[in-house]
Amino acid sequence: MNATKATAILLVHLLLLVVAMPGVSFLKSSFLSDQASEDQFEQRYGSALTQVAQAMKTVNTYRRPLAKTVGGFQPVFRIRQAWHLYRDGPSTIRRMEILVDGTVVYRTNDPELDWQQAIFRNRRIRPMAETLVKKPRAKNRVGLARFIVETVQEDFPDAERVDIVSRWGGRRGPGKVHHSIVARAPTWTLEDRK
Amino acid sequence: MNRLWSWWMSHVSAQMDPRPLALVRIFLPLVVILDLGRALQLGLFEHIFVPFSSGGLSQIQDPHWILAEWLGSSASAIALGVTLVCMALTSAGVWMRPAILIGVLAYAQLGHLFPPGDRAIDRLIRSGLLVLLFSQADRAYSLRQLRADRIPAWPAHMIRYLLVLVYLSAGLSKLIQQPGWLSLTADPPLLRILIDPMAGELSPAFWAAYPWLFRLGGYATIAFELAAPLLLTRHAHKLAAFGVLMHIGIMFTMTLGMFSWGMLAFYPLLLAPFILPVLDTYRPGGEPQQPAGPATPGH
Repeated sequence: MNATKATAILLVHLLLLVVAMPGVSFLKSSFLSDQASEDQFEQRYGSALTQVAQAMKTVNTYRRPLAKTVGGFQPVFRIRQAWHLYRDGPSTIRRMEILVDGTVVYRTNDPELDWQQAIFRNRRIRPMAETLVKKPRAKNRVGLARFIVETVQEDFPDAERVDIVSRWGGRRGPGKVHHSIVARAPTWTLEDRK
Repeated sequence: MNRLWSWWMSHVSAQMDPRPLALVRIFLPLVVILDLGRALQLGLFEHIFVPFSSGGLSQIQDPHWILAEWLGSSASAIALGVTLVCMALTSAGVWMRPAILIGVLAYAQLGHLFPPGDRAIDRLIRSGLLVLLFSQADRAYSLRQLRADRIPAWPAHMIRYLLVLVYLSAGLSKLIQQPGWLSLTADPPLLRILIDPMAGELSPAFWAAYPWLFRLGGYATIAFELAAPLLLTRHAHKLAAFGVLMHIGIMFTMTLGMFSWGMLAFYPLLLAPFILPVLDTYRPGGEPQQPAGPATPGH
C-alpha cells in the first residue's frame, strides 16, 4: 500500500465522520442558540451536561458547513449519512382505517380487517400512510388517497363511497376519528374532513 | 505522529480471506433484488415508480431525479431494469465494479423518484456497495471463477467503520433526544416503537402490561449501540452475535421490509470467526484459512 492510497483512505474515513458525526449530526442549528435555551437546558440537565452540550454545539457549528461542502457528492448516489433510526415511538396510537360504503375493510394491523394489508404495510407505502394518519391535509396525502380510491373501485365495483379515516387513541380500542378523506361516486373527488 | 502513521499504514495494508467480503457482495444486492421483486409482486411499480402527474403516489420527487429528462416516460422502467440486472451481476461477481457503479446510480434514481419509500437501509446498502466497488470482493464465490487467497482488508474495515457510525449515531441520538431510554419509571420508548401499529407488530393492549420487558430491551439496545466501536476490534464477532439477535427481534416485532435482512447482509464481515470454520468444512480439498480479523498484517 503506498502512502497516497493510505492517505486517500484516511480522508474518506474523515469525510464519513464529518458528514455523519455520531451524537452531533442531528443537532439543529437552533440548538442552544440563545441564553434562554441554555438556561432551560441547564435547569433540566445540570451544568456538567450543559457544558458537554455546548461543546457539541461548537463542534457542530464548524462541522455543518464543512459537511455541506465535502458531502456535496452524496445526492448523486443518494447516500446522505444521517443515522437516527428509531429514536422513539408515538405516545398516541394512530391507525388508518378504510371504509367502503360505511363498512370497515381495513384497519392498520388488524388481522380481521386486512383488505390490501400487504400493500399498505409495505415498507415503501407505510411512510405515506403514516404521514396521512399523522397530519390532516398532509402534503403528500393525495397520491395515496387517489390510489386507495382506485383500488376500491377495482375490488368493489359497486362502491359509492370511500372513507379514509385517521383514528387516534390510547392503547385499548380503535380510538377516535381525528381526520378523514372522503370520496363519492361518480366523481370520486377527494374531500378533506377535519 | 510517525507511530500513528505506521499503525495506519499497517492497518490499511492488512490482508484478509476474501470470503466474508464476498458474502456481503452476494447478500447486499440480493436483498435489493428481493425487495424490488416484492414491490413488483404487489403490483406497486406503476404507482411508486411513476411521477404523480402520471398517476403515481408521491407528489414529492427529489430534484436529482434526472433520468426522465434523458429517457422520457420509460426512465423509471429502465432504472428498475438496470438496478435489477446490475444487482444480479454484482451478486454473481460478474463485472462487479461497473455493475456496482451503474447499479447504485440507477437504484439512487429510483429513490429520487419515490423519496418516501427510500429509507435509511437503502442508503446504507448503497453506501456499502460503493465501498465494495473498491474491493476485491469478487475474488471468491464468483461466477467468473476469480480466485485469491488473500485480498486487501481495508474495504472490510471501512464497512465496519460505517456500521460503527450508524449504530453509534442511533444510540447517541436515542439517549440525547429521549432520556426515557435509561429511565426506570418512564414509559419505555421501545414499547412505544413496537406497539405503534403503523410499523410495530405487538398488540398495544396486551404488551403495555409488561413495561419492564421493554425497559430491559431498551437498555440492551442502548448498550449494543453505544458499544459499537467494539466492531472495529477483534471482539467484533461477540458483539455482532448480539446484533444478530437484535435484528432478528426487529424482524419479528416490526414490519420494516428489508431492514433487518439488509443489516444482516453486512454481518458476514463481523461474524467471520464463526463463519469461516463452517465454510472451511465445505471447501473441497482446501486448507483452513486465517479468520478475517480487523488488523491482520499485510504480507
